[in-house]
Amino acid sequence: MTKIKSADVFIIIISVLLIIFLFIRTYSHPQDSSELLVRVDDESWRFTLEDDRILHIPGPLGETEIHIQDGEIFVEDSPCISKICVAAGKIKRPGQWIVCLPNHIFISIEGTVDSGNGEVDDIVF
Amino acid sequence: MILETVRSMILSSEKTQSVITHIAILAAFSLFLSTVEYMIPKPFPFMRIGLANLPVIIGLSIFTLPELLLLTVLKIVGQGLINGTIFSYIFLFSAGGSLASMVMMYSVYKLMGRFTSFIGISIAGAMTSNAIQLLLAQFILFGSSIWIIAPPFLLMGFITSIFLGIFANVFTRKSRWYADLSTRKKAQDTPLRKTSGTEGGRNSHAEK
Repeated sequence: MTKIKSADVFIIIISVLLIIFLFIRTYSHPQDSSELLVRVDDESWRFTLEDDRILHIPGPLGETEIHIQDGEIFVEDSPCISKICVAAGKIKRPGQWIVCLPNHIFISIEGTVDSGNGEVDDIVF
Repeated sequence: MILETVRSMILSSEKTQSVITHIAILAAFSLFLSTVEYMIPKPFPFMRIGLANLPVIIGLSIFTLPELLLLTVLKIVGQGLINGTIFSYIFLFSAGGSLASMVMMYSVYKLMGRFTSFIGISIAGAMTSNAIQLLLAQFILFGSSIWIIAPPFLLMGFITSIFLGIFANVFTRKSRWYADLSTRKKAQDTPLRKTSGTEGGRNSHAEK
């Protein structure tokens, strides 16, 4: 009864393969390059920051125009009333984001925030 | 469904009376193991050992599916009470994981029972439980970033479930209490020898 049986080995092998697969898939990503992530409701797109381009992202109100320029991202025009997303200016570091609530658009830069290029927000004594 | 099971158990013969006693014993066992697990310090809150699943594993060969379901629900509620998570979203994860793993272990036991020991069953249950918890966490709380912790989470469950499976193997081989119960279950399953059941093995409880 304590001996391992055939299907045990089968289950163990499947589990180990699954775990190894997950380990490789999750951690072997070259995370040093940051990416632009654009989300509208349930949809999302990823863009590289390397190439300059102009994106037209459709939202409930209309198309929001996003520019990628020299590794920086900014909203050029948006059909919303408040234009807070346009006023948000340029973002370039991982973790930064711009959001346009009326048009349901969430723009963020994804990537690892390493201590090399990270900055201290504020120091309080 | 559970209420019906409980009612039918209470109303019907002494055979099921003994079954409900065994469910209660295993549920109490599970409650005790939850307490033990709660006391063990863990580096991360999601790194659980799953000790409380042991009674469910052991119960696989003793109980029918509704009875197992009752045991699992008792285990979930008990665990929620012990950990103080019964009215939080963590309770949902625990409930989903426990129920799914019970169903998984039951099907593995029924379909491939002759080819698996409790090690395989335990691993299958742990992987299912963890996967379901990750899925629930993704849809309820954290979004897809939860998958960053998925590999160590699953690996941890895999390792601990192997030990649980080994323990269940040893326990089922050595315990007279268990041997008594499982032979009685087999006698109930085979239609030729229907024994009323409650007579034998009363005194072997102490030897467990």
